[in-house]
Amino acid sequence: MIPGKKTVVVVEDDIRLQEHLIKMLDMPEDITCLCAVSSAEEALEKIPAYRPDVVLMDINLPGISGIDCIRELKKRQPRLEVVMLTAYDVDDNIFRALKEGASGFLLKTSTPDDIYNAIRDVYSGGAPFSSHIARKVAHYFRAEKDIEDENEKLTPREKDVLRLLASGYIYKEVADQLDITMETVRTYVKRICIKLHVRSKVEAIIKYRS
Amino acid sequence: MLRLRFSSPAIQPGRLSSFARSLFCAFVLGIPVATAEEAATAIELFVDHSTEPLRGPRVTVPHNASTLTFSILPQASPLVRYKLEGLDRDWSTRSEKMFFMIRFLNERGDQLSQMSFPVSGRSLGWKGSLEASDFMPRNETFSVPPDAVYLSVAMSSAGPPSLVGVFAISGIEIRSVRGGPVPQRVFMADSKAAEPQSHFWIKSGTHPSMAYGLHLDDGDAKSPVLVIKDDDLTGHADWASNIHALPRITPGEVLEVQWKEAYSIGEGGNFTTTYERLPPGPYRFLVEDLTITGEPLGTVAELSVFVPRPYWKSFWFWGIVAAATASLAIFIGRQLIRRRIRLHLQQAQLISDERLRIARDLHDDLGTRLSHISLLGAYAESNSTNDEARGSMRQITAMSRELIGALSETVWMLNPKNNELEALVDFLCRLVSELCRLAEIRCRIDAMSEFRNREIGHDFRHNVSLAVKEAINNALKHSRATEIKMTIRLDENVLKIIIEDNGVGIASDAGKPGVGLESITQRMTSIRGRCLLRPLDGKGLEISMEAPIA
Repeated sequence: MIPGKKTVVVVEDDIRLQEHLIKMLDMPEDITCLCAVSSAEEALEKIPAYRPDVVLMDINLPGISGIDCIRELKKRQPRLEVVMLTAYDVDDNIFRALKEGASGFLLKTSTPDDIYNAIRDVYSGGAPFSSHIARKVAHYFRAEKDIEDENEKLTPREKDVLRLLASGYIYKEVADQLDITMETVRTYVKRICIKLHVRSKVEAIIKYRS
Repeated sequence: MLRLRFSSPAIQPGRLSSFARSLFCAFVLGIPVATAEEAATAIELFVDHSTEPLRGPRVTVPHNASTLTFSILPQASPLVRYKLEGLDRDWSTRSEKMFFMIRFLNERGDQLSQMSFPVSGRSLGWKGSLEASDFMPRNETFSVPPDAVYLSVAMSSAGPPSLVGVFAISGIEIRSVRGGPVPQRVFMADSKAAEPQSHFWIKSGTHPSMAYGLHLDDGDAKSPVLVIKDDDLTGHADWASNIHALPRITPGEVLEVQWKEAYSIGEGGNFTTTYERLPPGPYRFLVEDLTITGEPLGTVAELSVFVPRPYWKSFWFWGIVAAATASLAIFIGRQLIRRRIRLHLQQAQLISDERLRIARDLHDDLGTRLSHISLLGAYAESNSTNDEARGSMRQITAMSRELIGALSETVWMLNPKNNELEALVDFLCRLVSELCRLAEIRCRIDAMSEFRNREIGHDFRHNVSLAVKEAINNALKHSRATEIKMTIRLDENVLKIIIEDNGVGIASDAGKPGVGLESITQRMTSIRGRCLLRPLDGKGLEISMEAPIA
């Protein structure tokens, strides 16, 4: 924990990309890269030790996959923000990563600004949510009719936000539409993500039991 | 079996029990039964070593029988002939020997030795009866044994008692062989002694009555004929010359005897005949009654015998075997084909999995490198002061991003998981929102219906995604719209995609829609769908695309 700086750990197996990210992350004033590791195994060793604010993790790792890694990390550090790095966004793993507790995802081809914004976003509790992810999440919650726990059900407001996001509204437009601030929108989205994460854990347990 | 009248009064020993049985049945049970006299020839069949005979009129032997022994008990006439129809071509007759003999006796009248000249079967000249037949000549030469003094000529039906038939001799001549100084001596001529005698020919045997002579009386001018007619299964008869009636013979003397004979002889009585390893099929064992001289009487006894095919030779058996083999072969064939198909499908699956894996690996690798390029470009752009350099870097970055986008789509297409409609809709939503975001215009998507678990074909996926891309790009490039709206619905089995923009629309006179829109229509029609353009009131254009899923 470094005051004023958002600490980041990079988990990326491609060395050149790793080096790039390190260089890039050290450029802004408010972000600093603590370390970079090349595998999920290393990550599981070092991250609990370093306790960064944000983790940038490649979704495609040798050995243990990125998704399994998130699960483990979230167990030890539930408030850890993880942003998945993916080469292409057609991956159905993205949704799975979200269910495991990832906070968002980034394309590897994102501009440096995109990356900085994403880090800042998740740090402040947001979750970059593109419309098609929102659509998937909406479907997911719609399918789970037998959710009883209030903590797992979406509130009407959350449902509205989700619906609008799924319809292609960007955060600002959602805020305008619902007459709330963008900050509030972000909070709603974050909550939705948490509920998604919780719900998918429950689902996994149910599946395991049956 | 036929019933015959048998006129002979003789009762044979073997038939005594059946006679008694018949009487028993007749008296006690009151059943009219044929008496022994009326019984027909009995035929019994013994199979292999069985002691129990099979009796007719029809018999089927076990198929593994190897030896069939027929036991014939002639009842009506003493002599029969037999034939196994289906195997034998001709009738078989049994015969034995009768004898013409020259006997040598010593001084005391005891027999020293004899020479026998047997006859059996039928003589060449036999023509059905004695009266009609020709007598065949025969001659023999012999020398007189030592101590022989007297000579006697004889004929006999002695043989086995069951011998029956007719044997006739005439024209007996005995003389010494010519040659040398000694004059020829004649002992007998024309069956008479050289010096005429009475009581020359003497009958003997168990049934002397069966011997008779023709023209034997003195004074009868015709040649004498000596006949034995043996029609009795138990006895025999002889003719012999009086030993003292012929001149004395000298030991060492060479004599010649000539005579003429006619005969028809057979062996009667019960007998058995055996056949071995008869081929399968129907047979008839026939036994025909004959006269003692072998003429058919016309009465036939028969026993039908059927030798069955072993089951493993029968048509039905082979038919069933063939059918079973055929169905087994068909079954095995089908299983093999199914296996082949399964393996084939597995292979196809493996190939498609492999393809996907290769594509993903390639994509990851390329994607990473392209990301590099893009990042390097961005880095260089931010670090460069030269405007032109920045511009170029920006282009590099943009291009590499496009490449990645294109790669992504390829990988997406290859992934068999994306055979579902849901995946396509997801793709379209992503596509549209991304394009809008890059162009910084508003995006509205209505695709909330459930599209789960509908499979779509590769062509469908390919053409729909490209058509939508075209439509969006078209809107972005030409329409100058600030908002694009996409609606995706599934009506019955038709997928409907409507893209609306609030731009300038197309010129109100339809004219040429432009190459982009034309290719959209082409793509939709190629999957049996269609594309409609509708200008919106005010401004904008609505492109409706639809196509059936199934």
